[in-house]
Amino acid sequence: MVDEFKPGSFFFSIFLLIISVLLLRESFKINTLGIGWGGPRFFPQALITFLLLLSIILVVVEGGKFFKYLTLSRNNRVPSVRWGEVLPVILVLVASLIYVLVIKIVGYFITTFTLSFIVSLMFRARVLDALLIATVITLSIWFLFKVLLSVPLPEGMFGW
Amino acid sequence: MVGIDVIYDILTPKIIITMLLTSFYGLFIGAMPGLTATMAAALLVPFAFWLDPLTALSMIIVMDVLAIWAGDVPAAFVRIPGTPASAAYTDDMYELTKKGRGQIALSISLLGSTLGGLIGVFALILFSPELARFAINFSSSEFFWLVIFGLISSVLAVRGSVIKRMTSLILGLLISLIGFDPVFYSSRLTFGIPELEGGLSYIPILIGVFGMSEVIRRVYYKTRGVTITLPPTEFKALELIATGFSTIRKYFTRFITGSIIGVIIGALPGAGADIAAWLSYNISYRFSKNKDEYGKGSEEGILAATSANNASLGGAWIPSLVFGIPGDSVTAIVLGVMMMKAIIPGPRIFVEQGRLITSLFIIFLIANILIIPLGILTIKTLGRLFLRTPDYLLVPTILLFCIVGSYAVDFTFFNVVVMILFGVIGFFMDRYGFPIPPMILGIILGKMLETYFVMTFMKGGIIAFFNRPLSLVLIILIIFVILTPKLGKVVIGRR
Repeated sequence: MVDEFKPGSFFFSIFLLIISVLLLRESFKINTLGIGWGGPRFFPQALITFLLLLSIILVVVEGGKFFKYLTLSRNNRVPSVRWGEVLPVILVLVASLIYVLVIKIVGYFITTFTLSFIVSLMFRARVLDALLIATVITLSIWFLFKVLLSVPLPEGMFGW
Repeated sequence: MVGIDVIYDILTPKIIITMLLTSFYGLFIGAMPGLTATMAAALLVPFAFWLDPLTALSMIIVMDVLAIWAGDVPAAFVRIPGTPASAAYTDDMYELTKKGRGQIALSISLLGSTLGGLIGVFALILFSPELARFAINFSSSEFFWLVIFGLISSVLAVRGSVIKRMTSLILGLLISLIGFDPVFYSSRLTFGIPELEGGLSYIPILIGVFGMSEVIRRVYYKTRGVTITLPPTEFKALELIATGFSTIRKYFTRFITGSIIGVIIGALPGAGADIAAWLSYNISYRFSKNKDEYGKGSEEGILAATSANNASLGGAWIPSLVFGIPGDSVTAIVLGVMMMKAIIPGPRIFVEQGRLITSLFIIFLIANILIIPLGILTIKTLGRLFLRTPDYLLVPTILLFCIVGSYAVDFTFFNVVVMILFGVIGFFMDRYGFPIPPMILGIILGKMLETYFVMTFMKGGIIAFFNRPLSLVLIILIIFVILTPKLGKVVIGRR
């Protein structure tokens, strides 16, 4: 397998720690209704405390591994993210989020066709193939969900 | 003669055509990510209104049985569980597909589902009153320990760092607590986002962590010059059936245990096919000699889980028929249809509606047997389709199915955002060694755990968790499951 981004595990542990702290802060906003044990705040706070402890242990363990890796590596520098590899993933995620935002305005057909077309091209389909694939996917999903299952797909300003 | 009358009742063109149509409908719903058997059953209710009771109920039975099996098809070929009942062993099925044994994985699930389902029906026919009486003895305290048992098993059934496994479980439990709490209706952990007040549906999460994360993985590795290809190995129909049977013979204990777990879990009110599959998979792992294969394409694990989820369908009818308490969400709809047709569930249903109930049992048997020919047809056609499809067609299709499937849960795009978010989380968790199954089970069982905890605590404080014999049996079982490997090592060491 291709070499991995070494600090990833350590950064993911820090991310978990931040999430635990945010959750703990949010848990104090829960209305206790005057009940302590078994009340609405009890279960979330017990679990969050547990998660916080686990995240701290993870940060220590993964941090130890990361610094050991840094010490052993020749130049003692944190490896940088290879943006060329990450950008296509970001593009797919952003395209999917834009799809969600735009579909209500433009409607199902144009947005679905565009998203399928872009993703097909990313996987090096020829333009004509990508056009055909996007058309088939758009119509098939419309038929399955809208016609067969009566799922109300957004129609947008054009009505389709 | 009730027997001959029943045969005449079933062998009518109306029933036969309805069964065929709903079996294809079940296969279609099961194979579509985001659509559940419950939703499919709900969509059948308007038709049930115009049909006689036998046709209406047989429609739901056949759809349910076929949909639960068909959920394995996208799990095997695109790593998206078609229904939540297939989530427990999705990774195993997909790993086998990567090894060129996707059709074999499905043939094991096909035979496991059919025979497990038949065991479920026989349990329904032979032990309905006894099993219902056993299930009704479960109070909130026993349910609490049962849920704990399931959660602990999920942590024990995966490999890797204990800290990471526990983190995954706790994350899942916390996700399940988002929104109104089930007992006091206090709003929790919503960060002021109104859409979170109602909690997160677990279907978009399932689609995200399995389906969307697969899309991300394929895009990511494609840019690194690594293409994930699935070997297009094909098997003959007879070969598939023979392999399915030989796997059952090889792992017969797993199959029987899975089916029994399925029947018992099904008979418990509120616990359905998904919980049965998880529990059976986890127990099977605990007692397996091939633990290393679990999560990497374990035929044993697939058989244990898949026999449990279909066996639970028969089990779920037991409390529904005997007490009018639904065993799962589909039987809740079944009870609604029964009420609509003026059929009152209860112990007397076997006397007052004897002919109808016997007919339903036979339809259950037929539905389970129908899985084999229709399943083989599905494996051959969809298998060929999925395995020979290039990435530039497969990836946009998976992505669009993930998006529209999540939207179809309750027609909101918020679910799509949740699905995308969990796709990213699933991708990173997978990459950094955080197992997904404990998180999923935490999400499914979290609210139940809290509800039973609060109910039991309010009944009698901490003592209420330990003062019933059935609770103690479950506690001993939990301790036994945790200590099994250590005890095993001690015994082997002494020898």
